[in-house]
Amino acid sequence: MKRITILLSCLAIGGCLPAFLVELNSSAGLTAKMSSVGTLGPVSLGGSNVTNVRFLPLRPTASTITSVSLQSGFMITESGSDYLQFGYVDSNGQSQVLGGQPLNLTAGDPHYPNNQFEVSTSAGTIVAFNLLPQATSTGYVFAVTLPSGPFTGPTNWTMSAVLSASSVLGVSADISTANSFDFLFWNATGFAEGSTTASGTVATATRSGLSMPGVSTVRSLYSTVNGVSCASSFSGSQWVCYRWTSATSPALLPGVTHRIDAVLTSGDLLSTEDGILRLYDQNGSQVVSVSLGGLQFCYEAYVGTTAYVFFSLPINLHGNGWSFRVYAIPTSSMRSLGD
Amino acid sequence: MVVEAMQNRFAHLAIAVFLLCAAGAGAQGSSVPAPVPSAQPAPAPASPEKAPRRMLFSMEKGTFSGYSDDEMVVLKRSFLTALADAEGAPVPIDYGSRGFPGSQNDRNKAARDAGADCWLVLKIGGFRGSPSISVLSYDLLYNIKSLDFSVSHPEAFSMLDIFRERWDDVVRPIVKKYPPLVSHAYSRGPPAPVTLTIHGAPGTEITGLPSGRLVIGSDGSASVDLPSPAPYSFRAAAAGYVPSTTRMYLDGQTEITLDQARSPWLRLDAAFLDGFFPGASANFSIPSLPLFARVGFTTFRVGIAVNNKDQVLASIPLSQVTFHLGFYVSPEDRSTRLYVGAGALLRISLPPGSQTFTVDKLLPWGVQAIAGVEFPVSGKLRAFVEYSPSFYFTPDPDLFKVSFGKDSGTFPYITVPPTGAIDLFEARLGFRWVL
Repeated sequence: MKRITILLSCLAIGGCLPAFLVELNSSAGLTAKMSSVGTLGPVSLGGSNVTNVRFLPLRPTASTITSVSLQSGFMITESGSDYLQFGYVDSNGQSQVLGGQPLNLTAGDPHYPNNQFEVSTSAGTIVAFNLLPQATSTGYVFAVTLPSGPFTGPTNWTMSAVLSASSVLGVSADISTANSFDFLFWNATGFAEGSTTASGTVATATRSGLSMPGVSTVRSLYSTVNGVSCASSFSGSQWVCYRWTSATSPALLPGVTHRIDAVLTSGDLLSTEDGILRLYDQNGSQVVSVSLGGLQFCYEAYVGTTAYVFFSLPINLHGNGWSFRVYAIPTSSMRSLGD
Repeated sequence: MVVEAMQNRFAHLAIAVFLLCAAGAGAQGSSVPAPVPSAQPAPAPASPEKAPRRMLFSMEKGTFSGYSDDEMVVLKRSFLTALADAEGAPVPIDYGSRGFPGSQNDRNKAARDAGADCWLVLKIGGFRGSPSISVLSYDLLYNIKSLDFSVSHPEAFSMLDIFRERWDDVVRPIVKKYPPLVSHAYSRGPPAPVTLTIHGAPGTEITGLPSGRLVIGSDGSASVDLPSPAPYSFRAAAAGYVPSTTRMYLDGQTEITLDQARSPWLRLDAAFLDGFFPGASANFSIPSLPLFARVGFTTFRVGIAVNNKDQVLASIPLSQVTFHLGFYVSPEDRSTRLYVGAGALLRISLPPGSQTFTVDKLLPWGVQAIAGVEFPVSGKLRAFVEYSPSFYFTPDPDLFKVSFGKDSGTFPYITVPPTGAIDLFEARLGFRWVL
């Protein structure tokens, strides 16, 4: 009887799950090669059925990576519908969340993200682009008065009003110019490129008459630093990619069979489709393929004069809390992630 | 042999009945309480060479005894009958209805005065429907407490059919402990010295003999002069062997060989950590030292947790490897053994989608103390319970704190600034297979 009592006592005091965060280990191989920029959290995003949590920090303004201080960013979640919130660190060092904004984004082709978020450079602004194939696309502009609000929006930004009689098919933030975006759109002459700002300035068409046979819907990305552009399209059973420069016409890259999410200043093409980081060189040859382990690509941004690629890691805490860790790696070191 | 056995039983029964009657007569009015038979009953020898032991006996009411005094008399008669029926059992000398002396010295004296060489006290306690019998006995020849245990009776004694009661749970240990001895064990004559040579493993240390500590030499033997005839009890311990206690009656023999069993070199554990997470470990004995080294593995891939949100079943891609050094506090020949130790633990993870193990980033390693108790189950199988409080290092104390949720505390961990945490609520329990 005494022995049974001892056993039952042990059972009573045991049974606790050990402290563990799977996200930290899933991405450990990559984050070990990156600089940790900071952590925001814990915060509660509301509800226990929050899924597809993303975190986009505000673009850095510091001149060195060690002086970058993560103070705020936008959280995009799904809980029935898309939801946008703003998180920041208050004067007491506690993380806070400003009331969320619903995103009534229309679902599009399942092979494309329903929307594309671009955090504008150096400002508390985020634009959610609702890119609908062969239809009128819309940008929803949300603004936050830094550092702690208020958080306002959305202001609808009808692309067709900017790019008359056109459908915006792809967009990317200009890494060098604040609040500037580059577009790929479809008009009467075919595919064309242009740029505009979130304030609604009339776009400037920079290139027209681009020919990409067999492509109807694209996800376009554009880098103004080296003049390289890229368009991804889901065609048939896989992704195809066209690449061109200001001096060359779009050319199919047969080796690229995954969705391209960014054209890096190094000229490499970055894909994060299916949670796998893939890098392709300018010829479309894959040079890196490694699991992201929960890391999410945020953007490429300059810190001083050095371009860095930023990633965020949403960490689901006990009790429906979340914490977000941000990492950065020089763009020039991106290929080392595959080592 | 059959005739001898019958004679023996008959003699026991006759003596027991005689003593019971004497005790009953004393209880019914004699101012002289049932005395210990000063006239020593003459035991019928079990064989020409051996005679049964003589045992001063008392049966008393224990706590919450549900039986009346009259019923106790009947129970005593039943027990004595069962004892008399057992072959080779000691001859009981009933102390009567007086309270048995309380101290051991007084009990020993009472036994000697009664001509007994041991004494036995049975206490009938518990409730009437589920009585318990506690047994306490002392062997005056070997000067040791020979019996000290309790047994539970599954149901009330059937007083109307009490003579069917066999008292097996009590009688058998008594008979085993008190086999008949050679007659001259009771000789009061002066013993003569005998040189006894003890054979055993070199280096075996023998303690408990009147001549003091003795060590078996490299030739595998040691000699000692001992008075004979006389009973002796000694303990033999050697590195690599299970210690043993030998009880013998030295009667002129000049040589004995120790029965020494090799210590097991490996013990395999199958256990649950924190109640519900499975694991296994191997305990290796370190030669010539009372130490063991252990390497263990526990997985949290499957288990049950009470703090897993609203789910009981838990599965996380985490495993734990442990390395320990420890030693047994209790001798190896004890049925229940205590041990302590300390070591380190390493937490490793195989996250979803990953092909390689990685050291956990939140709590990568820790140190752990262990204190356990193991007890026999069956054959080479033992059960154990082990308390293992742990200190964990965390390279990210802030994230560790918030990993439990906002404003949730860190139970069951206690944070130790700047980079540590202690979990006092860790325990393993399982089975240990001794090879």
